[in-house]
Amino acid sequence: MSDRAGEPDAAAPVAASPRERAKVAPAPSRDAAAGATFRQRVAAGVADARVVRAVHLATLHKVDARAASLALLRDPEALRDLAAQIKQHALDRLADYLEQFVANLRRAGAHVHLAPDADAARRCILDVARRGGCRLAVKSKSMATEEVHLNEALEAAGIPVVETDLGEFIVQIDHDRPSHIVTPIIHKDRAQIAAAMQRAIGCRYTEDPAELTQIARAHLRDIFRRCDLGISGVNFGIAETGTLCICTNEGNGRMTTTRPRVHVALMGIEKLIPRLCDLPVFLKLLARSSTGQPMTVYTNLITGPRRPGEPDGPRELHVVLLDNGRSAMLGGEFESLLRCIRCGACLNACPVYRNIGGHAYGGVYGGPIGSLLTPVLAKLHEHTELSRASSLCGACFAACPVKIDFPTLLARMRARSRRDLPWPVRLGLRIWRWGVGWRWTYEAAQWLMRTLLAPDEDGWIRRGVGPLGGWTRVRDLPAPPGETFRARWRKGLRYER
Amino acid sequence: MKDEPRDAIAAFVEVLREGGGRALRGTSDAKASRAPEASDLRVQGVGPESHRLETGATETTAEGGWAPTPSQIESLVRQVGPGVDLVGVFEAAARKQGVQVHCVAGGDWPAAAAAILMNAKARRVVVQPEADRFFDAAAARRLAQELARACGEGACVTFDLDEGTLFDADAVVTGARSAVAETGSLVCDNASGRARGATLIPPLHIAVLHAREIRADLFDVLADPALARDLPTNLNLITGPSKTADVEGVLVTGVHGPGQVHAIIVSR
Repeated sequence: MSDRAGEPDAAAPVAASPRERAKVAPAPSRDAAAGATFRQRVAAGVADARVVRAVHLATLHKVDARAASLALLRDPEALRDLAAQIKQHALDRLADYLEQFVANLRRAGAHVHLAPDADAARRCILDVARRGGCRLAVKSKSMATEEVHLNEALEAAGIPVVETDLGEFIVQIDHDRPSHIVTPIIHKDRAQIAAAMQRAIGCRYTEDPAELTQIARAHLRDIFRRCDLGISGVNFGIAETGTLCICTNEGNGRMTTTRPRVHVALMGIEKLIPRLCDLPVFLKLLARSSTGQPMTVYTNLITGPRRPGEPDGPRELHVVLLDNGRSAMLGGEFESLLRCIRCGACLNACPVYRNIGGHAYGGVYGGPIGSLLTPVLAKLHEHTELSRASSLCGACFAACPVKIDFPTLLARMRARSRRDLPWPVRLGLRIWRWGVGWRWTYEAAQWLMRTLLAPDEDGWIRRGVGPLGGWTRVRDLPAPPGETFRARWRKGLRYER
Repeated sequence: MKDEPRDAIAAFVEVLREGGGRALRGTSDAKASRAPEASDLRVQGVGPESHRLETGATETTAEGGWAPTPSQIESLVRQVGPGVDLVGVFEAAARKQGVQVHCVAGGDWPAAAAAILMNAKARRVVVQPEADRFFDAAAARRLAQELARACGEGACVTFDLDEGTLFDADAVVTGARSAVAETGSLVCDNASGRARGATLIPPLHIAVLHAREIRADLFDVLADPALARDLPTNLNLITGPSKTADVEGVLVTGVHGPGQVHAIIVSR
């Protein structure tokens, strides 16, 4: 079979032990992003034309695919409303559903743990790994584990962990960070991927995506044979049955939860939905919103560990319920963010994301959802500047399968964090508020604009005067028309044909 | 293995219930101390009220509270209704996702499977015995005979579901619990001694199912009350071969799971 064709000659050694990883010079991106300010990160994101082009192509393709596949549904709008409604209901009664979920998980034979914060989640998973005597961990793609920085903790404790989603695997061997919720290496081209693969697993250099995939498959198969701990996230937790639903296209979500002796699932508490009959609502929206597929290739429903008489599956199943700031959002003004199903549609739709890339957001989540979730999870003590990385165009709101009202929330966060702005900007905003507050000040401002701002020949204003220069440095303003609306109104507005 | 002390989760649930989350709210409180605002209100227009269905009838869940009834959900999610040519709809949807569909009459399926395996030059074939379905040991033996006849001496058919065997196999033949016409998905489970890895590990997967087992809509499979009552530890909806588009958006099949998926639909 062709799947063996790309296998390296020698039984490929696992390249993921901490010692071996240390030999490879770390790529700069991870550390550079950590210390840089938002402006610096944006500048870095915009600077690489190759990346900007790649992200444009990929996201625009997904926007089209999403639209085409949603259009095949009978009533996609009603379905989005229903999804939002079910999620909101689950949040409203989260205590009850959590209780039911935990009881059903235990009935099915799973161990349940609670992690109030990221540190507790890391300690809990490490503890499970140590008690199970685990030596080699595999990971299915999971944003929750990114959020708690699990890999670093496991490696520091001497348990090598290997990402098995192809994109995340390449992120890991290249010491990079994911830049998209669904397609983590959206910012890399095939040459970079080929170089990373050659460096990390010693395979021959090839830029053919199919061949690269086969090499990764062979390499990861060897690891799947030997691993004893599987770590996954959860797409949906079903309270009624204690079922974990994990959706993947590659099969990493199934391999990780089938092969190892111990399976640990890290699940944000907001992932709960009430019943099995609610699941089709989300399954019909998730893949369509994400990639335009009608369904992800594998929709995996796990209810408990291996039972006696079953030929395979993990002997132990641990579910770690992650709070990490989520319960604090309940009932608050940013509660609706907890409806998010991490489909990535808002990232694809966002013109700002497309231009600055996922790394510029600085957090684990990029795009519109990251602009809100990152500062909210940090209790608005940091990253609030992200809420200004939006034109408030609402493309994210229009794409969101659970109808999170991003523009309203972003505007609210701007208002909440206006004290974080530098004083000249605050002063400017104060003047603006005064200027638009009365008719005479507004008209005076209009007159001033006309007099002070000179448009270029093509009718756009690119250089503002004085403090406005800062504003027009990154924005173009269309030149005002010859006459204001108010002036025309006074003269008696009429349609001219 | 000791659990997290039970009271930790119970206490967390209690706090959530009493405060409805508000007791734990840190976001607004932390902010309020810095910038008290009159606009500290709940999100307007995106709260639960604005999403209530207008159809009136709602269901009180076991725990109390409100949720749409299954029939309300069905009225909105159902894409494919009864009374259509389910085999035809399934075939079209599955093909679109990269599944190769073969329709055979009566007991001809072992010959069809043997043809696929021969075509793929499969040598080591695992057959999952599924006594609770029409796809039984006798039929599997017939497949072994067909295969031996078609592929000659080199072919080897085993009923062993050991993981090592699955990792070394070229192909696997299984049954399917049902299928979804709407999405072209196969529904496979691990009840009755079937393996989680059987439909995943070998590079070629052939699933055999009766035409009458095809359900119209995803809703029909997942909202079946019988399923919720008796869930196997693992249930998979398989929609096409394992695939990725991580490298520059180029579609590649056969990442961790099978690169080739065949559905043999047996009709009478």
